[in-house]
Amino acid sequence: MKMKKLVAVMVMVALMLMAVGCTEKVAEPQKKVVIAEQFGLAYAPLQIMKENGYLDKALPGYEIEWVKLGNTAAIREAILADALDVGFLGIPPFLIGYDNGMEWGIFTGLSSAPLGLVSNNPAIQTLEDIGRTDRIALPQPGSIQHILLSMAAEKTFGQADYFDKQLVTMKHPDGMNALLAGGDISLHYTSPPFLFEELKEEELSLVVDGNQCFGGDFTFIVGMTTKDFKEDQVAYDALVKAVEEAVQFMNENPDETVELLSNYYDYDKDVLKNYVYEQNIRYTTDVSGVETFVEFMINNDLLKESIEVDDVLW
Amino acid sequence: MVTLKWNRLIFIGLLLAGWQLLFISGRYSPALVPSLQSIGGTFTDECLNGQLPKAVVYSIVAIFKGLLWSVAVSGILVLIGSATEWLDDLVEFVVSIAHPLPGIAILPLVILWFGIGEKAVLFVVIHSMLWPMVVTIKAEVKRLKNRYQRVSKAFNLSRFKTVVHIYLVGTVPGIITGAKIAWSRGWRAFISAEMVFGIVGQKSGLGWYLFEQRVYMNAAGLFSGLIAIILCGVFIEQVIFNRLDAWVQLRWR
Amino acid sequence: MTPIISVKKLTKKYNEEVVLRDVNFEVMKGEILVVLGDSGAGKTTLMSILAGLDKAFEGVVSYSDDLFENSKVPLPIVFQDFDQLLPWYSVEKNILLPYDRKEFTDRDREILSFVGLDTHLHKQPHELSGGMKQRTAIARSLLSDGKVIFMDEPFGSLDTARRQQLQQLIIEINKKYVKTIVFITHDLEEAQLLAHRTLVVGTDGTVKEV
Repeated sequence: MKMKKLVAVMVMVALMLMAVGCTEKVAEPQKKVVIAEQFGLAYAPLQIMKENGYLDKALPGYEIEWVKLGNTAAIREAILADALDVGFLGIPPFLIGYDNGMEWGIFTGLSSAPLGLVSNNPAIQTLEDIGRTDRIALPQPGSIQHILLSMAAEKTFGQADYFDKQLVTMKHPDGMNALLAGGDISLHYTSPPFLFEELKEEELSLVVDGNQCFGGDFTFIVGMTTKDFKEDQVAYDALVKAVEEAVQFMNENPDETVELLSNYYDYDKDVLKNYVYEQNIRYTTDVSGVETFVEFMINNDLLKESIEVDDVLW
Repeated sequence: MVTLKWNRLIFIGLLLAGWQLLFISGRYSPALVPSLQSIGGTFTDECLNGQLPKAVVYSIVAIFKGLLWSVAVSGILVLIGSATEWLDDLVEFVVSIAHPLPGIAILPLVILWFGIGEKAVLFVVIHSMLWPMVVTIKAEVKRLKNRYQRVSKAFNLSRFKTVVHIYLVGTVPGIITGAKIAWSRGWRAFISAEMVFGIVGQKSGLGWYLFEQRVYMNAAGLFSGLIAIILCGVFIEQVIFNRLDAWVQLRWR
Repeated sequence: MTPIISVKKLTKKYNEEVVLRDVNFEVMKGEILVVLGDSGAGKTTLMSILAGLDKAFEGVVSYSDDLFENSKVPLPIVFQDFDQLLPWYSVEKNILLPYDRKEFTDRDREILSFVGLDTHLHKQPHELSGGMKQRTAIARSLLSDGKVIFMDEPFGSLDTARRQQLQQLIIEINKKYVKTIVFITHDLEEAQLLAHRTLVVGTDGTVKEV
C-alpha cells in the first residue's frame, strides 16, 4: 500500500516537472524578433523605427513582433522566460539584471535626456529642505531615477539610502497626477514628457536635475539584447543599423518626425516639436556613464560584483 | 494518520529534489530557478537579520487590525439589519454589491480618498474581510433566531438576556468561522495590494518584501518571501484557527 | 376547582385554512389537562395560543389574575425537541437563565433533587441523555413561581423506559407542587395515564372533551 502511494506521488511530481520543462521553444517555421516598446519621448526613435519599418525591410524573412511591457522588471522577466529579444531601459536596471546572471548586453544608446526631481511645495528648494514625512514618487526602487536620487543623497548627506524610506512606487502618469493633486506626494522624480508638463505648472519647481545628481552627462536609455540574439549575426547587425537609421532620421527630419510621433503622443504638434527638439533631449547611439553607475552601485551594495564596461558594451 | 504524514514528507522531498535537479540542469537561469542552497541560505539570513520577521509581524498585525474592525463593523451591520425588514434588505443589498469586488480593484479609488499609506491598505484589507464576515454572522444569527426564539418568548427573556446569552454568546462559533475565512481573504488582499501598488511606509509587510526582491532581481529572496508566506499561512490557518475551531465546537455544540 | 384559563369562541386560521374552530373550554387549577390529537391536528397551535406565544386569533382567552402575580415566567413551556436548551451553557446556567437569581436557593435545590438532576448541574447538554435534557427543561419550568406548565409532547423522542419514568415524574410534580399542567400528546396510553381531563383536537378544528 505504501509503495503504491509512493509511486503515485513520484508520477505526479514527474508530470509536474515535465510540464514545467515543456516550455521549450518549439522550432519555429519563421524566425522572429520580439522587441519591447515603451512610451516616453526618450524612446521616440523606437516609434520612428516602427513607423518607417527599418527592421522589417532589413530582415524580410523575419517576423518582427512589438510587445508592450509595463516596467523594467517585466522586461527582465520576459527576457528570462525567453519571451523577449530586445528591450530598452535605463543603465542601472540593466546592470542589476547583468549582476544577477542575465545574459544580455548593451548594443546601442537611444537617448540622453533631462531628468529631474520636481516638488509641489515651494518651501522645498533643495535636497536639504526635504523632510522625513515628504514622500517621493518614482517608478520603482532600482530604477535610474532612484539611483540618481541616491547619488545626490550621497553627495549631500553622505548617505545614499537617505531617502529610501520615503519612496513611493508610482508609474510616471500616476506620479504626475499625485503631484498635481497635492496630496501625500511632495516630490516626483521623473523624465520627459512628464517632467516638461510638470515644470510648466507654476506651483511646481525643480529641486535637482539628473546631471547634477550624476555629476555630468549620461545616457538615459540604452538598448539591450540577449546573448542568444547576438548569435544571429544577420538579425543583430540589422537591429543596430535600424536604430542608427531611426536616430539619423529624427535628427535630419524634424517635421516628418513630429508628424509620425503625433500618432503616439497626444500633444499639439508645436508642443511636441518643442519637447522633442528644444528641451535638451539628445538622440544618439553613443553610450556614456556606465562606469560611474557601476562604481556607485558597487559602493552601495546595489551590485554584488564589479562589472567591466567592455563586457557589457557590445 | 501516520501514513498521511509520510506522504506529505515524501512529496515535499521529491519536490525539493526535482527543484534542485532543475537548477543543476541549467535549463533555466538562476535568476528564475535559484539553487536550494541559495534559497535556504537567503531565507536563513533574512530571518536572522530581521527583515523577514519584521515583514511577517507587520503583516500579521495589519490583518489582525483589519479583523477587529471587521468584527466590529459586522456586528453593527447585523444589528442594523435586525431592526426592521427594510433595513435588513438594505444591508443585504449593500453586501451583495460589495462582496464581489476584489480589494485590489478598488485600491485606486481608495488611494484617491485616503491617500497613500497604511490607511488605504487597511481599508482595502477591511473591505476584503468585512463582507464574508457579515454574511457568515448574519446566517448564524438567523439560525439562532429560528432555533431559540421560542425559548426566549416562552420564558419571557428580557431583550438584554436574549441578545447577550443567545445571540452574542451563541454566535461565537460563527464569528470564529467567519474570522477564519476573513483572515485568508485579508491576508491575500494585503499581500497583493502591497505587491501591486508597491506602497511604502516606514514599516511594511510581506507584499512589499516580495516587490523589493523582484525589482532587485533577488530570486532567492523572492522564494524566501514565498516560503515565509506559506509558513505563516499554514501556521495561522491550521494551527491557530483549527485549534480555536475545535475548542469552540466542543463547548458550543 | 377554579378555572385559571378560560377559552371562549376561539378560532384560528392560517391564511384561509381553519385550524381551530369555535373552541370553548376551561383549564382548572391543579389538574393535568391532556390535549390529544393526531399530528397536524392543531394541538401545538392551541398550546401556543394558551401559552401566549401566538396572539393572532379570534375569540377570548382569559387568565385568572393570580396567574401573573409574582411570576416572571407565568407560562413556561417544555418543548419536545432537545433544541430548547442552549448548548453552550451548563445545566445550571440553562435552568437559571430566565430568572434573576445567580445561584440556586434551597427551595431550588430541593426541586432539582426531586427532578433528579443534582449530579448533573455542571454538565453541558451534549453530555446528557435525552431523558436528562428533558428533566433539565422541566426543572427550568418548575423553578418559576407560576401556577401552570405547558408541555408539548415532551417525551416523544424518548425510549419507553425513560418515558415511563418521566410520566411518573409529571404525576408527582402535579401532586407535590400543585402545578396545573397542560400536556400535549398524540399517544392515547400516555393520555389515559396522565390526564385528569382530556381534550381531543380533531382535524376539523373542533375541540371536544372526552
